[in-house]
Amino acid sequence: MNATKVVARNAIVFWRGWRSSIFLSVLAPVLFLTAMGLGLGSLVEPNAEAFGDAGYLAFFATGMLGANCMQSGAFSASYPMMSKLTWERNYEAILAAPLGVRDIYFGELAWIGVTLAQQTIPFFAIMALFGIFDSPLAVLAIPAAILTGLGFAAAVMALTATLQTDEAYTWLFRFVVTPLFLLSGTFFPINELPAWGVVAAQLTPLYHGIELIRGVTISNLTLLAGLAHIAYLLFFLAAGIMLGIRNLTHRLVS
Amino acid sequence: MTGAPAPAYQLPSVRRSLRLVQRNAMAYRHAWIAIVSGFFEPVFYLGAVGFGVGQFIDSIPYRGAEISYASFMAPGMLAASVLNGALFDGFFSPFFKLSYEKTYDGILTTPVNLSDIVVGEVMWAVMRGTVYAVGFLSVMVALGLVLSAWAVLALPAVMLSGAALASGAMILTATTREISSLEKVMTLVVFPLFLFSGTFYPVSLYPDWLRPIVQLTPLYHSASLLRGLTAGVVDVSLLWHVLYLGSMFLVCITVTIRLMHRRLTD
Repeated sequence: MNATKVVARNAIVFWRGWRSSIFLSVLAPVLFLTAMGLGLGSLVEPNAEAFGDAGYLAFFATGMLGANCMQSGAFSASYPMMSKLTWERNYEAILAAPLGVRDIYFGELAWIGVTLAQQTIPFFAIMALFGIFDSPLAVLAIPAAILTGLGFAAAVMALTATLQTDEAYTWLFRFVVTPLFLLSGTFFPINELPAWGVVAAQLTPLYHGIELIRGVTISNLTLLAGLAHIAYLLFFLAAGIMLGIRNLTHRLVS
Repeated sequence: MTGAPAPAYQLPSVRRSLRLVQRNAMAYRHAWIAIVSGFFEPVFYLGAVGFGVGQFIDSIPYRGAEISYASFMAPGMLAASVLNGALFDGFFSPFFKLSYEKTYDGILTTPVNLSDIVVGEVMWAVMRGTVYAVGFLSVMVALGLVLSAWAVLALPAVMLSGAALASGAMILTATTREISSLEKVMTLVVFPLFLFSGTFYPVSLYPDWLRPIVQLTPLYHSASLLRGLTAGVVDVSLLWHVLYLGSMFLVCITVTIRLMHRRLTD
């Protein structure tokens, strides 16, 4: 598939600054983990049972793994993609080669998947060093987190394809991504929210991503519930892809 | 340059600096949402961490008093939002004006000089930070997190913090040439400051080697000053924070003016 050529292009551009990129993308969650997991964790210690048997650090870290992919996936599909679409017009140049809109679309999405893996795997390794996991099954948290991030990337790509300016991103990050990050069960269990908040949180893809990650790492998840979370995330991703291809075709071809 | 006499810098004037503030206000007329939305970030954090996680924290010992977690971390978020604003108005936005949009080159053809530009950008940052602070303090009052009438002094404290932090951020503007440095500054400087300045929990929880380092950072002083005022634990030690922030402002704005002169005249 020609989409691999778009992946290769992005990889070459990325190669130039990869060392600092990897370092920074791992450092941020580690700082967060230390400050919140350990610092706040010691304050909630007397009531830690509310966060499950594994304790606050494990609860928060597994939430961060998913939330980090959401933020990273959403970000990769925003300013960097708008730059290629609107400011630098790279896509128009690529279309002059024997590549189509679908190649660009899947190439970009696949590349975002690569960057998500590049952030998730070291983060996961650091969590393992903190002694958070006790079963080899925990490795499944990596694909679960990447699937969550890809869903958000696809949704934001569909939005980016319709935008002429970057103003909407202020709304997106301040009023969608940040509240999701804070209220979808990253910091505290959603059943502490008011009843309407619980329902709202359960509708969000991040909640399902985090539940899935926690299910394979620190909490027990029934097979049925696990499959339901996966089905939700796949549906979210598929809807984003369909909408994204439609919008990008509309933007670049007509 | 060697042997040449030190260049005489033009002194800033309030009247001319206000022209830059006016310019920024006009430029933001169409992007007001970017301004309004900045208010919400610390409010979200207050909700999620202050109350969400805070309900599992019984109380926090604070300089001889016991206060609720939300009332402990709320002034920390206020300080963090001052830092965010100072960084945006003192670094990101001036960086683009300096390196990409060449706004300052245009302004310098008018009677407004470089010192006016630096002072004007800091004034703009302080004004915007003050507007956020009024909003956030109102939220704190509404939620019962302001424990003392001393909190009225939090507003001038926010202005002092904003002036110090924005002047510090302007040094970054004057020395940064690569856009990729913005990400590095965020991850290596801002993010650690946000997390480790006694914003979320008392510095007594830090290991012994880390505590003195934290106590040197500007956000620690800003957060401690604001917390003392909103929690109403006021004594002479708060003046130490005022002194730190005041000196930081004076040193940083002087250094910034020098660096900017060097940058734009080389």
